[in-house]
Amino acid sequence: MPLHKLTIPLVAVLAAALAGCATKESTGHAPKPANGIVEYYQITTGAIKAVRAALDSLQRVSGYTNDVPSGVRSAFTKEVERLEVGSLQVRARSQAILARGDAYFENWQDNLARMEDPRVRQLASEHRPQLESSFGRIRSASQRARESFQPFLSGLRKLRTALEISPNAMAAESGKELARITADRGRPVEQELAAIREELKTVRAMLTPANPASKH
Amino acid sequence: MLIALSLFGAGAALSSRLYAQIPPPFAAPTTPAAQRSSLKAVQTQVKWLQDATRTAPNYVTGGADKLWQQMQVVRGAYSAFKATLAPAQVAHGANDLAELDAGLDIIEEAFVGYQEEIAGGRSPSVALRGLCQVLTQSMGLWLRELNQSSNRLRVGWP
Repeated sequence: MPLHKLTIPLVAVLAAALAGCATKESTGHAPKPANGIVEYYQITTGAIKAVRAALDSLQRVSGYTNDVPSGVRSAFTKEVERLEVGSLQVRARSQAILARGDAYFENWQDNLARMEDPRVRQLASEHRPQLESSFGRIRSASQRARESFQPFLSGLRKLRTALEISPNAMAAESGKELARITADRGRPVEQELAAIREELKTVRAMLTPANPASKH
Repeated sequence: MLIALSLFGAGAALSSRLYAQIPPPFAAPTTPAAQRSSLKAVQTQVKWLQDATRTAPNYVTGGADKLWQQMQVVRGAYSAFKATLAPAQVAHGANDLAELDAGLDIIEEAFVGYQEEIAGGRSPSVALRGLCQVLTQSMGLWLRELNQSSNRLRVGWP
């Protein structure tokens, strides 16, 4: 079975379980704690798809040595726009993680410690060292993804402009070189996002009780 | 940011930035009513920005300037909203708020990209349409995050 067919129900089950977990303080007015793992997993998956689609579109454009057909050019333009929007949330989260550093992890732990399900609180407490290590790896991958993303997007934009000015931009050596360099910059972004997603799977497994909680 | 400042009219941009960054001279009330009102103001300003993205391509000139100015108004409204949060909300929602801050910074980078594209030879009208597309969708996502965070943080709850 393809991986995505397995992961979607997994995410759904966990989301439902966590959504069913009201908070310890949910009857009061204190802020609700946020686990955030499911959401982070989802936005990372969305960003990976956007990066993959942009790379695929770039590869299609690169396949032409003369005029790139208008349909291919406009599809490329759309994919660049989709990437800008589709990566927004994961970029914002990465930036927040990098900006806040350890404080981000502490805040996340604080939220976990306030989840209603005592088993989740227990698991978070028991696995704190492993969670901290995972967070460190997520932070490092976020840093590397961020460093590659900006040049990747910039290269895509430049190529988009070049193709709008001249549909046969790929005939020139400069066009081919720009496409090659841009693809080289995009692959690490996809790899680092995939690394973040793998780490999130590990975290999710650590925080998932053996039997899903019954709805409160 | 310097590029954006120089290209979008230093005076207007600078005053907008100052409006966004200078805290009010007195502490904002953190009452539920103040929180609801300030949240509503952010939602309204985002809506106006999204409306502006629909009309900006019709302007012969200055469309991007208008979007930039409205973006700064959103920032100002968001700063005012954050000032109405109680200390516990700020503490618990520190990660959410950092992400919302980062989201606005990233969305604003689209203006820099727009100027770079024009400098690189892209048609200004095509570039503006692209900017409008990215802005309206990005602000929609950002607003959704804001609403979700506000719900988690019990913003405006009595």
